[in-house]
Amino acid sequence: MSDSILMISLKNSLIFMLLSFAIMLPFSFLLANSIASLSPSRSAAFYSIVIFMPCIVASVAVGQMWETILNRNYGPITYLMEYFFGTKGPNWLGDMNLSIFTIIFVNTWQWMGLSTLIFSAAIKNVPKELYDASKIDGAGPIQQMIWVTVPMTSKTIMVNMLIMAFGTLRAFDLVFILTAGGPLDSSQMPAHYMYYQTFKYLEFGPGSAIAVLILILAIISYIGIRIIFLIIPAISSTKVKIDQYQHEKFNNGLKSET
Amino acid sequence: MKHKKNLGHHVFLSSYCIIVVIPFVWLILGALKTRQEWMVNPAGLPKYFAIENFWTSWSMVNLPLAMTNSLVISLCGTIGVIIAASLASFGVVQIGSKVSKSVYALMIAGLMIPVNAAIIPLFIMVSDLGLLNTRIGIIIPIIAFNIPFAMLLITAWMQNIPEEIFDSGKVDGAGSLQLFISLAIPLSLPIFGTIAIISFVNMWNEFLLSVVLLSGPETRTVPLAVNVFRGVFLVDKGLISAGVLITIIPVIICYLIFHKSIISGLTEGGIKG
Repeated sequence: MSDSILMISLKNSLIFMLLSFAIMLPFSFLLANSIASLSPSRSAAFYSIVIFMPCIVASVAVGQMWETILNRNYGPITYLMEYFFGTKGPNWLGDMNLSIFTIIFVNTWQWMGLSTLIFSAAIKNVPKELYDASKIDGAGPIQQMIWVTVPMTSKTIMVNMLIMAFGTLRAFDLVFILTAGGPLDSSQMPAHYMYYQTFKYLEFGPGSAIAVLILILAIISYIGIRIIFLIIPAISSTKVKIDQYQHEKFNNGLKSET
Repeated sequence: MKHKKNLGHHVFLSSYCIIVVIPFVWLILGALKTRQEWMVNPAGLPKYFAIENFWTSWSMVNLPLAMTNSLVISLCGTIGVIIAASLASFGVVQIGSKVSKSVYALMIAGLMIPVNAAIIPLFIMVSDLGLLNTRIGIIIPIIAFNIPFAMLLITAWMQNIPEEIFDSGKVDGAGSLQLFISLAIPLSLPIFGTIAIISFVNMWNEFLLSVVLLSGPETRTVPLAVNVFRGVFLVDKGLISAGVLITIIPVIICYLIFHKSIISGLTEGGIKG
């Protein structure tokens, strides 16, 4: 436990998780909102196919692709930076302070599609009557999004957060391909560090300890996110409206059955 | 007014789509450049189409062998997942007792466990069985890791099959196995298709298991081959890009054909999980 590299990897995974929440949740929600509002059309289907495409490609291939693009000596990004701004720009994968953020960026680029699709399916399931009701109450599109769509999809937000949290603990392929934990172990993540200890140094003891730690972290993050989402919806005032709606729907269902 | 609102959505979505597509475009352009051109002009269009890049990377890393390995592993794994998960979820739905429900909950909890938390005991087990570096040694664990998600979807599907169908089968004197084969399987074929595609793609892309359990060149899978490119081609980015492109193309084609069932399966699993 007193291992300093393990501490770095834990810190990195915390940054990874929080940044994934901060970037992916709002962004994919907005994308999903746009897709859902264009929904029954060819263009919406086309957009969702394109946005989901990176998730289907192996993350090893994605990592190799981005490694080529961000490469210090041959990459097109460096070339363009030099051409337009006269500087080579930052060393995306070789800078000790930057490499973890590059990995987070590539990970976000790859997995944005999954959360977008899950969100858009949930937004499509929000009953249209709620939007009409809020329109009568004088809500604009942004207010509608905040006070109708977000509370109605809170369970999906939780699912997405869980997927991102487990994705953080699983992050291995991209770290392995892009930086191999380097430079100087500055972009080490728990999953990759465990692999490193076990199968590079053949230290099975410490490796298993990290594996157990990953499992404990998975359980902690699961329980933590569950608790957060038990507290939040209770505060939201629209819950009353939703309950009323569901009650009505239930009654109507009973009537139509008899 | 409505048209104007939609325009905003279109602009937002298409600008994000461009961000998604640009790296792929660069990959295709890069695969068509020779090593010299990569030095001078990494960002622009290639002047001379170096199609031979594809042939070189195809033969130098022995990609045909890697593709066969991946195909065998993913096909066997997919069939195994469908057989095991459908039998298990049929049992859960039909028995419906407390024990079977807790078995189901246990299986679903498997969704939560990262592969890397279980990899060390798995490695020791597989090497004790003498299955290290064989295809069967990775097919069995890969089936195990794909069962929870498949079970989640199949159980949800089978719960929607009306009970009366099975009751009428029972009246006609069918045993459990007969009910399963002649009623449950034909009725759940659509969900089997979805699961087959999703698990196939998952297994085709699996990296951690193959990097740990397969070490020799004769059992190398496609993701391992992608990892090997860098060691073999060193700085020749054209060859690396061509190799990566070759490994991506089958998956993308498969995705474009089956995108509907992949997307619906994953979103359904996400919402229910």
